[in-house]
Amino acid sequence: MQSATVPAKPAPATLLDTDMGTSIDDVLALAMLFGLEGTGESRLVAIAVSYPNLKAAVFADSVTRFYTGAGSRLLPIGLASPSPAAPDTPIIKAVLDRRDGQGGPAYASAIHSLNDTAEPHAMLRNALTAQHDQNAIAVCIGPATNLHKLLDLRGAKELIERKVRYLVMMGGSYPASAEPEYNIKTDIPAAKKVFAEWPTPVVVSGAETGNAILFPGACIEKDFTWAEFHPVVDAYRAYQSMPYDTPSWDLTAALYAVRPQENYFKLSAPGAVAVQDDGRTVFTPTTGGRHRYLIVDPAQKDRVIAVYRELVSAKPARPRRVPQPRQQEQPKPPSQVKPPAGQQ
Amino acid sequence: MITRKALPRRTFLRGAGTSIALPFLDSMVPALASSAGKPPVRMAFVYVPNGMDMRNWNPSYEGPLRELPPILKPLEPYRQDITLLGNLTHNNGRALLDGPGDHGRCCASYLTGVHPRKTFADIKNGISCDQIVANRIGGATRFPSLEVGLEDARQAGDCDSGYSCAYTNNLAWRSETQPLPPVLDPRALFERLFGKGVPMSPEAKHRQAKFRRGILDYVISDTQKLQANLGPTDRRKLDEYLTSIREIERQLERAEQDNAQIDPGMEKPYGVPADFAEHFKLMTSMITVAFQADQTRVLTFLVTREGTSRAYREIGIADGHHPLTHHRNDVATMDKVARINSYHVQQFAEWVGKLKSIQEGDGSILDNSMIVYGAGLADGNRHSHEDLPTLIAGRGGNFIRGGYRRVYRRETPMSNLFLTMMDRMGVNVEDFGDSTGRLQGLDLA
Repeated sequence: MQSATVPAKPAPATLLDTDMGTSIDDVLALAMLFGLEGTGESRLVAIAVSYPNLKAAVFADSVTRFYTGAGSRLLPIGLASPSPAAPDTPIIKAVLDRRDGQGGPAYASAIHSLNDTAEPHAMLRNALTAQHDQNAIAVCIGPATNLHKLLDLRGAKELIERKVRYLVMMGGSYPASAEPEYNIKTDIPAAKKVFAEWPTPVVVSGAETGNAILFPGACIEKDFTWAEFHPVVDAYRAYQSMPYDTPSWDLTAALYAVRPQENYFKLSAPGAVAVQDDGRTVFTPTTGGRHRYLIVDPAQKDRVIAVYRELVSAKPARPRRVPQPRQQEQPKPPSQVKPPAGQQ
Repeated sequence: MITRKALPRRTFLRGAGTSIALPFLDSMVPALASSAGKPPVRMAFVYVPNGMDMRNWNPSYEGPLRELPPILKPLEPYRQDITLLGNLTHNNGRALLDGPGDHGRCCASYLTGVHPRKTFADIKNGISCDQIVANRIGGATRFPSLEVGLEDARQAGDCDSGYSCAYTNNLAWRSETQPLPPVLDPRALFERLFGKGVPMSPEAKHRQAKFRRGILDYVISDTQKLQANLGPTDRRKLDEYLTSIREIERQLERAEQDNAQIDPGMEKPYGVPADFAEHFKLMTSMITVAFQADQTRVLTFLVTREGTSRAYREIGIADGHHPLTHHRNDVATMDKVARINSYHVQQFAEWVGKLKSIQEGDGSILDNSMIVYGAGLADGNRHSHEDLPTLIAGRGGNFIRGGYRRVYRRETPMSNLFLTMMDRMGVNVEDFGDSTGRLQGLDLA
């Protein structure tokens, strides 16, 4: 007799693979995903960082905790092997060096060493195992390094096929790129593998899409006044000299991932993306192809920008708290706990 | 010139209804050195239930072991012989949409790395790593594996929120549907180890008890013949070995007499001591002898069944173990859990000490063993399946560094450890459970 109880299906789970720390659009995309969590449209269940720097994981954790509180129910932050370590970036420094009124870190993080992060491919796999069938969405807004390793795990493709509706990637240019795009160029073998082997539909947002829709820098000055400290604001200001608008590359992918039905973008016909050895991408329409790419719809541009502003600047929905011990006294340090008789 | 003839590794002392395998003696080492003369490597798993008080398990440091945390204090004399591992995770012990039942899942998945089917009828799990090893190398020993435990446990029915008792009460799984229940009765284990494979009838047991004859009396003729051909070191080793068997018999007799006095009609299995520590010692004494005589190289030891509510009045704790672990962060209750955890480790440490005291080849039996001690839950209050309390006693035959705490990255599968241990046992499989690779940094390299 089988007695498993199947809980009601929650909002779709989002798994994010990002090179957090390299450019501001990753930060904006992460903020947007938390905004979409606040509306109940999705749940962020895993964040894998591909920028090989421990501080990039600390940064991602800090932003996450800003939105979810100290008692985040997220799995740990995954981090691609940080050896050799990539340099700290202005974004990372700005957020991690930010101090509160008492001189302490303005943003909390529980990551202090590499062992506080997870192997990203194991973490992504484990996160998928906990989702209802066809109720997860993968979003890759950096090099596909972590997804590559995920695909290498035994049984991963079957798991992805069962759990993931589709993958939305930011990378390349379409229908064909004259120059290799950064995310693809950074890990060409990974991009080749993911486009060739990802078992569910892939929607890709080329650089041209984000270039056509700029995130308005004015939003940073006007829409975040509710927060004394905000990591998105600090990161944005550190990325370039203010004021500036910025291409919304990663935002396009994150927005489409959660709201595909809103027609913010047009979609290409089905086909196949091929990655050249030098990192350039070519899209070929094919009947029954698993790949499509986003196309900017000029009529939707202002609407998309308004949605960006609304979601990126949204307040944390419900900061989660860790249950506090209900003891009356302070816990004894381990050394003071009395061992059983005869062990002293 | 080499003249001495090596004693065969499989030498037995035989007598009526009795067959006693011998420990590893110098005389068994071929005069010319070869790998055949190396002591065997053993793999064992000692499982304790209901998680651990992690405040008092995890040291605050990584690297060479310094002062051990309170729960591990009894292992202080063997600090250089143990390895503490951090951040190992059993994802398949998590709910993964199956709702409550973490006790059932964590025990079932512990050695299988598989998410068990939630059911109390048509059970389905995976083959446990000990049985994978037993299947491959078990032919080299009398018993491919041994499964022992200390708590009487039924095998059917619902033991945890819809999970069969087969999940909470077994560690070893021969197939997806066939668990191997642990032997709980010391007398049954004794007869298995030293009998000829046929259980003694009640009449025979009675006759043996009446005339107070131990099994060594039956093999005295073989013993004398063998002793005459041994050097002084081997004679001493043999004497110590036979003395330990004699002592086990005495402990058994004492337990049986005590049981008869307490309640002549009691249902407790024949020969199970009423005292927990005594029971633990008796079982591990026999396992030690089994290791010594290379009767088996694979062991699973379910100290008590997962989710048990056993009380520990021996150390002044009348509350049940499981209810205590749901302490709601009440410090006094958490300290009781820590005391139970430490009490278990105290028994384990005594066994570790025994294994370390028995010389074998250039080291000890402990040196040639890999004994994992741990639980399938970390925090029993939250039912967490990550950073599982895990230590390895022994060096697996000069393979494991020892005296070290190594913390891995989060979500590192526990299955990676078992895959690495299987390698060391000479059983190479591509992957196991939810493994993502071998566990790095465990060996001396």
